[in-house]
Amino acid sequence: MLTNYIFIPIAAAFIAYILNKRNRKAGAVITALVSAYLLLSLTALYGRWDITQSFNLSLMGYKIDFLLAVNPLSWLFAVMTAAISILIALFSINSQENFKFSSVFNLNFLIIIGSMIGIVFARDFLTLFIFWELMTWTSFYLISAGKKKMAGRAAYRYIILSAGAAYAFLMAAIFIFQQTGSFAFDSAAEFLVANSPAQSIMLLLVISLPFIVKAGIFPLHIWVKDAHGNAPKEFSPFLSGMMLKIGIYGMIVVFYQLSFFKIIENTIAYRGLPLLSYLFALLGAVTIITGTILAIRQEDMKKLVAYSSISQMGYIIIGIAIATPLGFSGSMLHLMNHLIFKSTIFLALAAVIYRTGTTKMYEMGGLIFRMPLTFAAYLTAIIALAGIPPTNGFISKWVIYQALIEKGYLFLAIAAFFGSIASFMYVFKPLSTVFLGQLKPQHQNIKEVPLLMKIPMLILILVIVLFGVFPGIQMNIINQISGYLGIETVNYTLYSIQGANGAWNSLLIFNIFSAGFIIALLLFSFAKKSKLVGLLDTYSSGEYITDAESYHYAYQYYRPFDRLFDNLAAKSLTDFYETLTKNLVRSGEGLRRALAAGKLQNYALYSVLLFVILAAVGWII
Amino acid sequence: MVNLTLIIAIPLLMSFTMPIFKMLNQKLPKVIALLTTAFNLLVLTANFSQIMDSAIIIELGGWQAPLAINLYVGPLALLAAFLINGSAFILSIYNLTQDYKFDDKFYLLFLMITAGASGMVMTGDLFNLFVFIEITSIAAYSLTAFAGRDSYEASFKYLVIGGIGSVFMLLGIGFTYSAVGSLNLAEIAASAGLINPLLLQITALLFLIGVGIEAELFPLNFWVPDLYTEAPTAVSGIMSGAVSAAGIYALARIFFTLFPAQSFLNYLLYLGAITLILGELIAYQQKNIKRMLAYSSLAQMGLIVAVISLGTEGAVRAGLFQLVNHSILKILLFISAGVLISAAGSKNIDDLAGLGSKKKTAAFGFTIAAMGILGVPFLNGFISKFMIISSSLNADQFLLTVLILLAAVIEIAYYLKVVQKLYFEDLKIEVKKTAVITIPVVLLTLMIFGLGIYPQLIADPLEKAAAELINNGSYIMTVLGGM
Repeated sequence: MLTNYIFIPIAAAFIAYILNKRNRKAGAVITALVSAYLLLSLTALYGRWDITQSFNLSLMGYKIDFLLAVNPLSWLFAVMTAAISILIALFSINSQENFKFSSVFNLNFLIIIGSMIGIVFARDFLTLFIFWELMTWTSFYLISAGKKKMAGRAAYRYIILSAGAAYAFLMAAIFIFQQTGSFAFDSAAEFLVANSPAQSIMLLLVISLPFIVKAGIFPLHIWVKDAHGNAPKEFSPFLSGMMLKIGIYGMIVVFYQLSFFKIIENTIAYRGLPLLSYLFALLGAVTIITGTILAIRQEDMKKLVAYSSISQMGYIIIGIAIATPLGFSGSMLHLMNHLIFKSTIFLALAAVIYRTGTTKMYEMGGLIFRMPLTFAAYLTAIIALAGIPPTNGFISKWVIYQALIEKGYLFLAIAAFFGSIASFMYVFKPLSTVFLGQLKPQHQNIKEVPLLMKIPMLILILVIVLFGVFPGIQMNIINQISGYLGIETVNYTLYSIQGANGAWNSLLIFNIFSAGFIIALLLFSFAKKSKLVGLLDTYSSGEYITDAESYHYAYQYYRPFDRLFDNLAAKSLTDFYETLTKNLVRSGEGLRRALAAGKLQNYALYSVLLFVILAAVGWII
Repeated sequence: MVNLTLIIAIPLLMSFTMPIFKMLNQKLPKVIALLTTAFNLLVLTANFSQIMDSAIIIELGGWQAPLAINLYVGPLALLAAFLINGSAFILSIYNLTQDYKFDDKFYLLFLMITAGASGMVMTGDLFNLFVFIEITSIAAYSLTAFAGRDSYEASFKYLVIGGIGSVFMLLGIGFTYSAVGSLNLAEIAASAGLINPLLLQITALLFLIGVGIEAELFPLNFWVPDLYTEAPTAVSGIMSGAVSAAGIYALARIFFTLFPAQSFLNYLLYLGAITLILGELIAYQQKNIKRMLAYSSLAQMGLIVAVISLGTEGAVRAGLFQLVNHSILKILLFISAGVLISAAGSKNIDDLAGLGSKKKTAAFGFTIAAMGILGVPFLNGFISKFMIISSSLNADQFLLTVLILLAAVIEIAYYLKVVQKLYFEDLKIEVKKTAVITIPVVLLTLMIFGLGIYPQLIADPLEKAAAELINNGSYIMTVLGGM
């Protein structure tokens, strides 16, 4: 029964809420157990792509079918959701002891898990919409529970963008429903292919709006930074790792299952790619560049990583939009890998926040001495993010590059390379300012996080390396997805992937890197040890040094680089949206002043005026 | 079967004997009000299955239809009567914990509103309709003034505008009588086609304005915010839950049964759409929570009128469902807001920050009702919103659909601002002691979830009510059939 996967977490949510009021740890434990159950039972579902479930309902005169089904694509997303939830729940057992909203957190988190599985199993618009809304609403409360003031505003922006997009989606879906008499994807796809292309394209673009918002694609990305930066520290990994991806899932549904690509197949093309697809890819490229530039400027480490998420989503979109077998596989690889390394980064940062209580990078430093495992997790993850072998991040980016070079999309490739190189800059910033450098006096006594918080980080480190060496594990399911969606598959073995110009053999590379690492380790252990000196023990031309902090510069780390883009960054899209809402408020106020200013005689006049006007209108017509 | 006239008669009787009850026991008026409304609900329930079969017509005084005043209780009237008496019942439960200064007079007027509004929806006579509107409004004018000094102005405004409305209405009745020679609704409906078109046009407009004031249509609705803001919570609740529902009923009855013409419905459609968008825009920037709820009520009324006047059966059903939901949700919003306001000692939204952890029931009630209005899945507002969008797209009203959805986004903006304030900000003020509202909140929440998860509960009444509105021939036939 597919409904079990959806409603067990939702039912458990209320149990978790009630129990968590008694014991602070109960909620997270239940979340972990439920996610573990989900993961296990989903594993049992693997390969059984014929399971479907449907409900007929005559709702207020509308005949509605609710359809659920499993396919490789939805299975992958469901497994990803369950897996990351276990890790986050394990992590949050200890980390939420002082969190005021921990009951609310677990209630909403479990509902989100259930509704996300509902989204990926849904085979019709209405089911999708219901769970989509449920996810949006519960995540609104989750984001609101984060840092004061800012989290509220961020959640507010998030919900308004999401709701607007979701309503547009609903309208398009109902429009299709009226033409076909069914909400099902299959009949919608048939209708859209047969319909006039212009209208179908419009409908599909409107349908993809909520997915674009969720995936944080330019120009609807403005909610991402603040929401991800200010959400509760345990929720950020999920928000960034998983909820952005659900937007991508929706895009794939629109592109393949609702046959967007099939409809635009014969429209104007650029280098063999329909212009609209190319536009999506361009949006991806712009997303990469803006995300990267803005990430480099951030002083708040969570916001920095949030912007980095935006830019990484750009890669995934490019790969999907160019719609070659390599591009699609690369995107799917990157999607999984981004989930893995981005959650690692956010969990490592959550560990840092848990101990230090701040997210401002210039208030920290030298934490490598106090939190070595957290440092290791962060380091591994950023190596993956920057795309350095032998980690998983390299392979997915490599496949995407291959796809771009194969087709010769110059601008897209440049954007992708730019994003990759510049990502070194922003991921190095927290590494250097938070973990390296001098330990701040107020952080002298902090310790490494407790065991339950270490375990998720350890697992994630292992997974990063595992997938870095054996991408074939991921390629197995990806090829099944490609087959299901009707895309050509890519040749692979357990540790190699066949690209456009040559194959990638990760085992070989891994061996070389390991050898290099061992040599370096040997050199390090046999060479003369460095001597640790006190912070005040330094050359100073005879001046007295009293302040230990001044040697570790962390504020405005890349100022010269930032200066290059100051003008660009000042033209913030956020301002544009803010002005829009301000004008809305003002117009409301203006209308109220003009009409409802409290003058009774005016109100009386209105009734007479209305009569006269309507009578005149009736007379003329 | 219990005689349906009791729904009007018993509250009137109880209301005028209220001072005697007060003399017997200080607490008695509250209880009497509760019992009376409960009795009304029972009477309605007892008649439910029969009305669903065929409308009940009660000829007062034993005379036949066109000669004497008759009551007509079909599915639509039943639905509206359930809304009115249900609202009054829930608010009577709420009132048990409230202390009003002149409580015998308060409950006298409260029951009078209930009787008047029930009469409005049950009567089959035009002049009788006018009388019941007057009873309702006069009771409402005085009830508004129960909240002390600030409410006098609001009450006076309502009095003046309501008076103007009565004038229009009375003129319309006069014209109708001169043209048709009868005041029986069915009789008028049967011969409306014979009226001189110009006269018909003028008469219909007179009714539109007269009843539009009760139904809170733009631009006749500017008394509403003042009233809802200043009146006691129970009065705001009954005004938005029951009286406006009766207003919508009267409007629908007049423009569907009496003068069914697309041109009048178009007026209503445009007025409703303007009311909707204007209400939402103004509500968005309100700092006073009750005023915000008032403008939101206006907007909802506009939405309901606009949707119903699309005139298709699906649209009417959607509009009526929205009306039911609106009554449930607004009452919950008003009583929760009332408790929050008295806890904070201020109506300013900013002062309510952090009350979620102190006034748990009220904050929960507010949140769940807000989410219901915003159409979160598994709550009642979701289904009606779905039906509204579907039916307005079905009627090829693309622009209206966009407008409705835009309004919904604005609505999200201002409701969530309050919800966030309640739960996610720090407490700034000293929390005062307030009344306990657990029972009404639980009852209303159950209804919200019940209708959200199993909307089939009222599918049948809605369908029959919509059919009754669309098809005025059967109305005429049932009333006059005996002739």
